[in-house]
Amino acid sequence: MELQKKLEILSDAAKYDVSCSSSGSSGRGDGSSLGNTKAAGICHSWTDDGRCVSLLKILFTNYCIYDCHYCVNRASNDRARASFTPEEVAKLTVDFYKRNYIEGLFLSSAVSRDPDWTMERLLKTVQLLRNKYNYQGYIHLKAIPGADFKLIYQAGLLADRMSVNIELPSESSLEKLAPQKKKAGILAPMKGIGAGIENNIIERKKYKVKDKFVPAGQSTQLIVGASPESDRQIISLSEGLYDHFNLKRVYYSAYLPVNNSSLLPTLPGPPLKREHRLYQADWLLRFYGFKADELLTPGRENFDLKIDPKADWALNNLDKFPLEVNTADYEMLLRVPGIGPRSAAKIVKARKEKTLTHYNLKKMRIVLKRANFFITCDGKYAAAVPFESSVIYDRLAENECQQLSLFGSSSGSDESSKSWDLEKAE
Amino acid sequence: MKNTENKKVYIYDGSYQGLLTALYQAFKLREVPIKIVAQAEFKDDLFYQQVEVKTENEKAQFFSDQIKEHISAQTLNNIFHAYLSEAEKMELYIFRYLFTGFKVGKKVDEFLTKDYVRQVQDLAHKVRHESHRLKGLIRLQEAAGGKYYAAVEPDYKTLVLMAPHFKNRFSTMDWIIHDKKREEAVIYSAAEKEWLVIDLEKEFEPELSNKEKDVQQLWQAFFSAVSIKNRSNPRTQRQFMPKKYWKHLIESPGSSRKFKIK
Repeated sequence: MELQKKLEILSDAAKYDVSCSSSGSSGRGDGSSLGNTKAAGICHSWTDDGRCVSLLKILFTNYCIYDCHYCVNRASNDRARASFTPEEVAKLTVDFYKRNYIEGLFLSSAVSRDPDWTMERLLKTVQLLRNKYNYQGYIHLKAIPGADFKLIYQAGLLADRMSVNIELPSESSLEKLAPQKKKAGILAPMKGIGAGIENNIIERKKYKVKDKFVPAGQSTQLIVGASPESDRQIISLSEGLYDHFNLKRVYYSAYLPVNNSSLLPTLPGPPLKREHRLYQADWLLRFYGFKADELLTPGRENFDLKIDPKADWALNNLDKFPLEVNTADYEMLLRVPGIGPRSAAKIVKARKEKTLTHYNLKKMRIVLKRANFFITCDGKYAAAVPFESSVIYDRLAENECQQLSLFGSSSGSDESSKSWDLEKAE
Repeated sequence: MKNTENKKVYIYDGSYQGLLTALYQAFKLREVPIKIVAQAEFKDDLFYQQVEVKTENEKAQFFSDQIKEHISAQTLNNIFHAYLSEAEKMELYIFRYLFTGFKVGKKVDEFLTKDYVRQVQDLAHKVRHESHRLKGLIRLQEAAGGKYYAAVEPDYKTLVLMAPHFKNRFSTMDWIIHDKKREEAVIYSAAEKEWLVIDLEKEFEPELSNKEKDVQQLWQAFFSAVSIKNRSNPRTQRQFMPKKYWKHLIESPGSSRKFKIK
């Protein structure tokens, strides 16, 4: 088969994996080899669906022995199939990298023949790149569940990031939709990689071992909407993964109906807004010091689709507000809807020099659209509405509605935005 | 502050060293110029006295050391990056920023309620932002002879900020990045391991290597194939990758709406 045809099939098959980042690893290049990595990561292009292209994201093969219901590449699907050779992937990566199209390679694969065989191919490809082509750019490699951990470990010494996708947020869903996969098979390599990373950090400090093991950490992906789990279950799972498995990122992928299966729900379109809310909550966990059980509690299982999780939290804890920006801690400033780490840092800096007013904040480019309802400046409350939960809720929802046209506007298939339109029309 | 009666316009040669020399002179003579402008931007001015500043590298070096010592390295960075913006009145904002800086030290960057501090920081931020963006969006093409060439038309003078990054990354290749707007280019040689900025006319186009078109076609095919149709979102795409940068890309954004696979 012609290379271009293969590339089309195997990149098309890989696109549902949403992980894209190229960050977290730095200074591989030494001046005599091709490439390096940047800690901050670099995006090289943006596709028509608005997602960034940072890595050459492809499957090694899409011939799969598994028959998972949610997956485009399931064995029983009638689909164009193809396989690369390790040399082809290595060559392609280098050709693209030299032209600055990409930041590196993201290599995943369907499980063809058996897990060990597949993992060996992936390992071979990475070895070619690092050793033959002297390539020092970014590599994100999938660990194949069920493969011998020795293979995974060897690959980890050459890759920057590794990931194992959990896909379904609970064991019962996994059993139902991916009966050939086992929870243990997925969690074991994750645990192994997590422990490997920690040991490697200690070894590097103590014994001056030079080889880095998965320096950019590991990530995973969860599919949202293919199974009945609530947002609360998903977000607690993520928190657990961050806390216990040392994960760098958890990605959420709105379920796209790619197969017809009686076990899968029929949705009018991908639950993009729900996915968006989960990402917002994920950020709150990682950068804003929130805990999962603050955001959602038993009884409140899902995020409000009309306002963001932080605003939702603030409205449920209205006794902590309004907050005086001139005296509040940095940690509390971070919890104000509409104020992020950058704005909070600006405020903390600027108020050393003088007492801040609303005008100052505006000039400092701190967005007050949402924050206004929750802050006072020098004792003044400037939102032109009474400080009441229901009133603020309506205002925030209205703002959000205008803003959210950004998400999935053109497709018009977002179920929640549709129902919102109906309400407005009435 | 003496001499405020006698309003002066400082004219420098447009280089960074030139600007530093002009600033040095203003502080040294305790003058507050009404304007500081690059020679190329200067239009005859009847009302004010014109002072042409001759660029002196030692003075520039001395002055930047002073900034580092008495204010901070961050401030020096901000000034350099704001200078690269080539924005109108940028020089005067820098002057006032430094004026406060020499009084209060490194705390000047906390004076966010002051207009000129914000202006300098914002300009510097914009320049850094574009430079970061272009590190991803620049597309090299293999020219006949195995050298690589890229054309860009950035809003700001970002070539010098990008050069070290590409030197690091493509240290084993010979390459040229061509700023068509300013008719200059960064040229890097793998043998010398050094880059320098040269003048290069707008019309320059290298001849491409034989296999270049094939690789470009593969990239276009990849780009179209990875976009998910039922999530199509051209607005977000444009937000991150404004149309002004599309001209020198190899891929064609928006193409997947026409492109079909199997």
